[in-house]
Amino acid sequence: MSLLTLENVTMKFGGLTAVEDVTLRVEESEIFGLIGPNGAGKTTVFNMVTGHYKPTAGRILFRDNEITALQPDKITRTGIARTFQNIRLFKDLTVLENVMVSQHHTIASNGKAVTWFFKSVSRLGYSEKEREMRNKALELLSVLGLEMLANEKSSALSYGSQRLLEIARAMATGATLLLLDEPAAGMNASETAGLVDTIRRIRDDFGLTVLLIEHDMKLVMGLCERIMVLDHGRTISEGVPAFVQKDVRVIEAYLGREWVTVGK
Amino acid sequence: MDPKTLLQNFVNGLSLGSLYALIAIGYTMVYGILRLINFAHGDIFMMAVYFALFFVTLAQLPWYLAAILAIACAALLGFTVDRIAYKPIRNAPRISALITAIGVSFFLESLAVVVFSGIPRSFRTIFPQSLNEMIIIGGEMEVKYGREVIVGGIRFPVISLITLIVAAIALVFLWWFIFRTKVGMAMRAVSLDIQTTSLMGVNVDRVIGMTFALGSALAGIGGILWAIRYPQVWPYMGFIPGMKAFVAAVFGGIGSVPGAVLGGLILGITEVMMVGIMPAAAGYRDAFAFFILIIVLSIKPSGLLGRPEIVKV
Repeated sequence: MSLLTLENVTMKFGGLTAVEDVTLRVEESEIFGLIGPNGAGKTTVFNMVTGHYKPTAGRILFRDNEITALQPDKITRTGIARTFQNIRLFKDLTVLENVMVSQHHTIASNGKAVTWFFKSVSRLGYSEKEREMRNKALELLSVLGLEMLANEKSSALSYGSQRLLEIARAMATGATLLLLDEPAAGMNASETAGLVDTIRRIRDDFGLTVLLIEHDMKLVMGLCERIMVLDHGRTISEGVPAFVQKDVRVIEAYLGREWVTVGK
Repeated sequence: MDPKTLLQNFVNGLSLGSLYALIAIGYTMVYGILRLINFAHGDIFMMAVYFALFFVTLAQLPWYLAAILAIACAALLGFTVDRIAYKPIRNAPRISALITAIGVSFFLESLAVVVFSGIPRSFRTIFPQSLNEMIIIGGEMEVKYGREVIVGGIRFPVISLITLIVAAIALVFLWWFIFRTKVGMAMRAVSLDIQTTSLMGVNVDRVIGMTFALGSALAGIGGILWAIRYPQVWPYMGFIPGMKAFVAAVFGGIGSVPGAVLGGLILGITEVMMVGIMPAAAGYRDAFAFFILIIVLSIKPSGLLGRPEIVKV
């Protein structure tokens, strides 16, 4: 059983086919890379998995349950959370609050709206849970080295820290599968090296599975255990980094056909 | 104006302003989250007054129970309006939602005309009469021709004071709710980025529903206090207060809760002061609110505490 399965998924926007017939299997606790030139459809795949887009055709399964047509918040509650290519933190909330919003659904999200309201106001049996939430949020922040910044507004953080905070926020949903959309974008070399360690560490310590999109080839080849390459919405190559790196179709997609002939 | 009248007008203005503020918060919270002007808000205000009226006259409930129930019903009505009218078109262009809001407003008004009839009813005997009595501070009592006459002293109705207290309590509660509870935190997150919030597992529709309920409850409180002060109840009574509260919300910077409070208070005080200074122009008091709005918007388009929207090119 794969953790995440995409079966012949296609996404069309009017006449434009962004993703065509993509089949993808991510196994439990692996780090899987999704790469490809700009406009290849990588983020569209993320948007479909998280329920932001509904695929035109095909099925998406998470732990063998179909999640193709679910609402984004329901998908998150099944255990998938993501970060964004363009950082989308809650700018006016503090670092700690950003993380705590993700834990929102973990208490009293079921039941009637009225009970939900009264529980929240009266705080019956809540304060204990809220303290737990706060502690767990702080713990996650310390895992990513952000605990000193807990009470800062998230917009005051550096670019690299904001990216880490997005990861903490996604982890706080209780997700078992993290989708990281260009986690190293805008980071300098040392920050990127730190990020590689962090991703490995959270995978090992929290038993997570990571599916990531990245343009930094050094990071992808060093970190990912398997890679899929998309070009113009189609899968052109899939396998371990060493295989993908040498695949003629991949070189062609990135550098053009001439390069391949010259290279030979 | 002598200092005594000034103080008298100030208290009355402050209390009127706090009513505007209570209603304006509903506009500003919904706008903050959905970027929607909920034109039906003034009609929920009106409905709350009718609920209170019927709970006392038909159901024979004591006035305080009737008031609490009416506020709860207003909250439920706000929640229902969102579910039925706005939720299905959440992803439609903003203009569709705006037109729907106007439609809901007309619907509620017409519904009230059909169900409650268009003939104005009196709210006067519904709540204890003592609420409309005058408070007199200071001044000497003289006996003239066998009747007591108060010379000097500051006077204002009891309801002004009660309005101020109730509004202050409601505002403190709201502040606590938004900044200290988990649901409040979710509301703030939704108002910043609705899509990302739902991707973090928050049931966004429920949070939005809660915002409508909370705003409507405040409008309900405002409505009942308003009806004690101006005891004529009729289906279109929500229009002018609703419009002025909207002005207050825009004036203070729409989307900002402190802005709505500030806008409401300033509007209430200037309105009462203007009538105090120029009694002849009292008939223009409603026009005055809109005049202020035009001035403010031409100087500071985002309102007093509003943040200019940065449009990326």
